[in-house]
Amino acid sequence: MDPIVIRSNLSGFVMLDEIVDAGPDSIEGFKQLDRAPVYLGVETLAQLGAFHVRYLIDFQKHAFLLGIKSCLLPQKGELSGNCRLVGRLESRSSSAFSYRLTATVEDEAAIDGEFMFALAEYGESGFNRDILQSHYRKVFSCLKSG
Amino acid sequence: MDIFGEIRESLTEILDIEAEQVTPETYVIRDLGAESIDLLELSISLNSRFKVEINDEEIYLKSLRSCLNGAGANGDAGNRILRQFPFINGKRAGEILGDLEGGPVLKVKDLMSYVSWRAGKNGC
Repeated sequence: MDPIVIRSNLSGFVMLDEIVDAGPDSIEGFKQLDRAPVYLGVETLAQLGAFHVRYLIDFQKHAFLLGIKSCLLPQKGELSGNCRLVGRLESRSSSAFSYRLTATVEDEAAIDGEFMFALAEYGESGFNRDILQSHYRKVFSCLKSG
Repeated sequence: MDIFGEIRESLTEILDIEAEQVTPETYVIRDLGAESIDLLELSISLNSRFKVEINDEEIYLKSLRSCLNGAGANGDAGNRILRQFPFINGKRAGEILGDLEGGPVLKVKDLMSYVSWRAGKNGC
């Protein structure tokens, strides 16, 4: 069977423009949005949280969104403007992490939720270490250096 | 609330079950049907409630069967459990060894032992 090619026209589907700070229990980034549907704002926060998890474990495992426990969404159906993204690590185990993630658009609170992430070994479920580890390191480094 | 009460509350929230279903002797996987994804959420909840380090491999006895591979019948198996899982006492190790054929052996009381052990290490 021929492979199916999906063209999203998004470069690697990275929904972050910049990571300005990453510490042991917090991360902050930005994304310029232009009439983006709210679900893309949620995806942006999920990517920020997953990057912090990978940063904490030095990219040694694959991180994925385990679930969203709660999330307040804006009344408006679209997000436009400079979006400040903040993640705070609330609790964790050796392989699961819980974050409070918030998005503020033009100084107005937009999304506020509790996101959970978990780790998987590279090699499990098709997570190719050779490709993904260097890919995430490179993207994180690019985002950190603006 | 005591350790058991906190763990029971976590389990009832995550697994959407009644509190009456959870006792210290309840099997977490066999009786309550907890899946790996539930255990990850439970780890987060326990860390949040008790402020102790949670090692998922240890608390859920994940390496139990591999640590028993090749153990003889001369008490070596029990000693291996005690070495691998320092929060398990000798009596419980004996129970576990007699229960391996029934499936996953993890009980609520093992979670309680782990939290107590970790709290003790933290000097709580």
